[in-house]
Amino acid sequence: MAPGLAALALAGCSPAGEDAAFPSRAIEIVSWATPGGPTDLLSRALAEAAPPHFDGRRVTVMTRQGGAGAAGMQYLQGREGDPHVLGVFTASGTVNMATGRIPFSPGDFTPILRIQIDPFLVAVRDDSPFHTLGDLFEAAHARPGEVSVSGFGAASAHFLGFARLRAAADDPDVRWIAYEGSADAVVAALGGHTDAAHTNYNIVREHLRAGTMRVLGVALPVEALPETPSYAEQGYDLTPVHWRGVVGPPGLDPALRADLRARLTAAIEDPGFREYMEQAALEYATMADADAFGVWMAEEVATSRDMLRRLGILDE
Amino acid sequence: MSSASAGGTTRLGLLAEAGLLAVVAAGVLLDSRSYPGSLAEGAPGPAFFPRLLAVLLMACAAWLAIRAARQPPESDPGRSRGNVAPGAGAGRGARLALGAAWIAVFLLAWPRLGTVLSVPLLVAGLMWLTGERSRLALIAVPLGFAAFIYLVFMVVLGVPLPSGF
Amino acid sequence: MSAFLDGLLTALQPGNLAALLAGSLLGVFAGAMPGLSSTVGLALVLPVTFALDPTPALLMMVSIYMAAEYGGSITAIAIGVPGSSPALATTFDGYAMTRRGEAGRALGISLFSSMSGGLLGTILLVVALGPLSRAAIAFGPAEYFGLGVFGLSIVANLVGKDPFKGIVSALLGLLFFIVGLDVLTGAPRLTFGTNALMDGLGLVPMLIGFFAIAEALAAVTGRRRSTPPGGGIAGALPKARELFGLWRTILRGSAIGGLIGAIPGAGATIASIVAWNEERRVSKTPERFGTGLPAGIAAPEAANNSCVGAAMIPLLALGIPGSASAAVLLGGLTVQGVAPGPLLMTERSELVYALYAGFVVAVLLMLAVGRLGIPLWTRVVRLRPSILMPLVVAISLVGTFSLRGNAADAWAALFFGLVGFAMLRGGYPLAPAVLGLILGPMIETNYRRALSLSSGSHSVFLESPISLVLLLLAAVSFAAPAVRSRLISGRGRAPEPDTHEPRREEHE
Repeated sequence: MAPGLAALALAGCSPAGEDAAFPSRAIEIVSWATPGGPTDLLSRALAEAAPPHFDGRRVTVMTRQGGAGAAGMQYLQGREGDPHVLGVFTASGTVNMATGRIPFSPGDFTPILRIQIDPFLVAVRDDSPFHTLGDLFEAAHARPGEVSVSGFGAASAHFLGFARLRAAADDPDVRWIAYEGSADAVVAALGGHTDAAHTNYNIVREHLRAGTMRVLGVALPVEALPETPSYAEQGYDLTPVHWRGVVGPPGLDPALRADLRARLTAAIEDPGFREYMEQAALEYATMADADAFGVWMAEEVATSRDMLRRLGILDE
Repeated sequence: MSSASAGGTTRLGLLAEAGLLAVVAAGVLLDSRSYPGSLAEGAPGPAFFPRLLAVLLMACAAWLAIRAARQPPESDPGRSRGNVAPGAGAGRGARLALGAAWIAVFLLAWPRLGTVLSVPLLVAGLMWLTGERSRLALIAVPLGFAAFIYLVFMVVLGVPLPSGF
Repeated sequence: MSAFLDGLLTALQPGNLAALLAGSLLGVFAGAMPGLSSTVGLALVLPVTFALDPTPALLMMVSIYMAAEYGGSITAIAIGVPGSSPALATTFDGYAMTRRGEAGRALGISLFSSMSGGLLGTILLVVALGPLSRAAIAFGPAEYFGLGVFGLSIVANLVGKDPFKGIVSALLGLLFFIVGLDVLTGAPRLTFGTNALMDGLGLVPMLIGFFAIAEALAAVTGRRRSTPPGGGIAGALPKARELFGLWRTILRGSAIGGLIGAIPGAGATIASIVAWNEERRVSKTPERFGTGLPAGIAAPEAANNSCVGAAMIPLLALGIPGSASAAVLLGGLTVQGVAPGPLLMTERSELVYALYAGFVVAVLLMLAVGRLGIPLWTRVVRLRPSILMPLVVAISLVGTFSLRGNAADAWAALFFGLVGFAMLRGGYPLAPAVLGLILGPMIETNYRRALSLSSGSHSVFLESPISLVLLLLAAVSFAAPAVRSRLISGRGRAPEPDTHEPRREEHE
């Protein structure tokens, strides 16, 4: 069904005060991420690329930070059925759902379009004795508690990404040193304070190009790192990634949801948006349909919860 | 607020401060019971620092109590009662409560009424409470200020302030 | 040098100059409005920069960053409310000077020191990019812990009449920092099951509460706050001779700002307080600090502007944002396809030199914009309290909300307003609590991090020379006031600075 027709068909059941056609006013993208950070940038790049695909309506980013994202999510959740309010959801969001830090579940939002993935990797300073993930984990098996890896947050998406890798290597006692941000964690490894950093490609890209850091392994093959073996190639059969995608408020009509997905899919094909993806070194990873994205989100929560229970961080 | 207005100098004031610090410290100790242990062997966990602070605050509270005990009850240094009209303390307390309550009412109304309607009410109310009685000022200042906030914050800078309704 | 001249020519092209000027105006405004800061100013223009070319976009952003550091001192001096947190130390002497009726002089000193600090920070950035970026990554958990403890030792100089109450205030500040999710385990602490407290109690709500709302509540309860004397002197600018006489102070302040600013995560607020304290330490009349000394304004203002250039060092050389504002700048760079890191200088040198030159032009524009604003601000000072205080409260609450779009922050500001009011009434100075909130994370998190890495051995703090020196400095700094007062006790107690309770003398 063409977007216009979909909207027409919905004329009777749109939220109170809405006009028949969607979009009937400016689109808001609620951002609960740190200003200037990767998730905030995605919101802004989207706001920049979207207007032509939303009948020329204005698209604004509305900052609502606080409560580990809950403030913004609450705002989004409160706009039930309103297709004019969107939010960018990430792996951090599903992990926070798993830990119970935020009082939401995937069902509180309408998944629309996963946009990008950002594979995790393990990087070391150029003079590190480690050359493969195996080196790192062997050292940890030999000297428990003496090998350290820095990364963003505790019981965070980054932490769980590494915990899954560590579990696949028979749980050596590698010490996770949590930092306030991914960049801080990379500085710690760069300064020799920790043995390695668990982070994403775009954070260390320039240090890799300059040769000041090396990658031991990457969760998924990255185009820019053809030489670097993936986790799977080194015998760890898992692909933990950071991901970001657009969700809407709960109770979005299926036709409107399909309409939004079609418009957003067009928007992220915009040359300006493509340029942003390239410059931020991110990969497109839209899924077959919106339902698949919803299943993905639910699975992420479940996997995270299992891992947290296994680590004894979450009881029940 | 009579105890606070006497704070720091009278015996009662010192005791009140000591009690308050002790309650805060006890609350922290109570809350810290639910914190998990350290993730790394040998390193202090999340409860270490709050408990350390609570113990130090307890010690401070004890010291304040000792100070209070040492102070003869009738002496009231640095403050001559004659200067303060009877009931002035209670009046101040009521005004403080009104001022804080007015700000709280504004914070509650802000998301619903929107910035342009609620901000002038906040300003006008606080002006009145601070003793402004010029009618012209009570009307012109809040309205002018609301126009400033609307134009500069919302229109020019595009800060997403609550628009209400 | 020719590369720098090319950069200068680029920065002076009409479009780029316009971007720099717009940045200066917005920066001074965002800095001066309590609640707004350079970070908010930068975040607001981030969408605008999408539409611009890389050079004007970056010039506009650095111009905002630079001008906001001066802007913060305007409100600090004029009304005693730090317009942004790096101006906290400026309230000590700046507002005292305004109360004497010398607002124009104080603002002039601040502007001149900000300009000098900005230029010196830029020079530092140009000549010491490589070495300082290597020094910055030498800061690990043990070193940050040392720096945090050293910073906290400054409390000894901020305690006011009753040292005991100053210590209680600092402990309360450290306790306020505990609220929120623990960085190392993710466990919620003192959140009482509410989601709103998970991100902790912010510095901005605390500053707004302590310095704006507590003061307004005091005004409501009938505490009169006299309007500073006006007339000719209120708007009078400092003499050139006075400004140039401050050169030693400005050099010291800029050096401190430059060194601390280059360390990721330390920031301009800590640098400016350390600079103020250092100036007090070397002064022949330390007891007069906080009563309106020119050096008490010049040191922190030189330091916080020098931090701007210095904060670019880890950003440009390593791609590491050292502050919240630098993080937004990094976002802007990313959008423009500029990837800072070890190769930036070789691959994009023309842009880097334009950036350097842009800093210089931004500083000069800040001087012009700031100078034009002084007559306006000296008039704001003269508003009667029953008009001024309500406006300060309203703009502070709007600013606090704008920071993160979070109503909980405005409520936190009201909470801190009541706490601050009660503390002032009980004779507890406020500045130590602010210092506690700022330094708590640096001290606790890095203490635990260092011990996680050493499996519990405390020797790490003594093995690192940087940490050892900082801890020794802390011990000296903490003991100094006590020793000094012992030495001069024969002449009676030194008059205490009234920095921390600047408005108490008009009591009742």
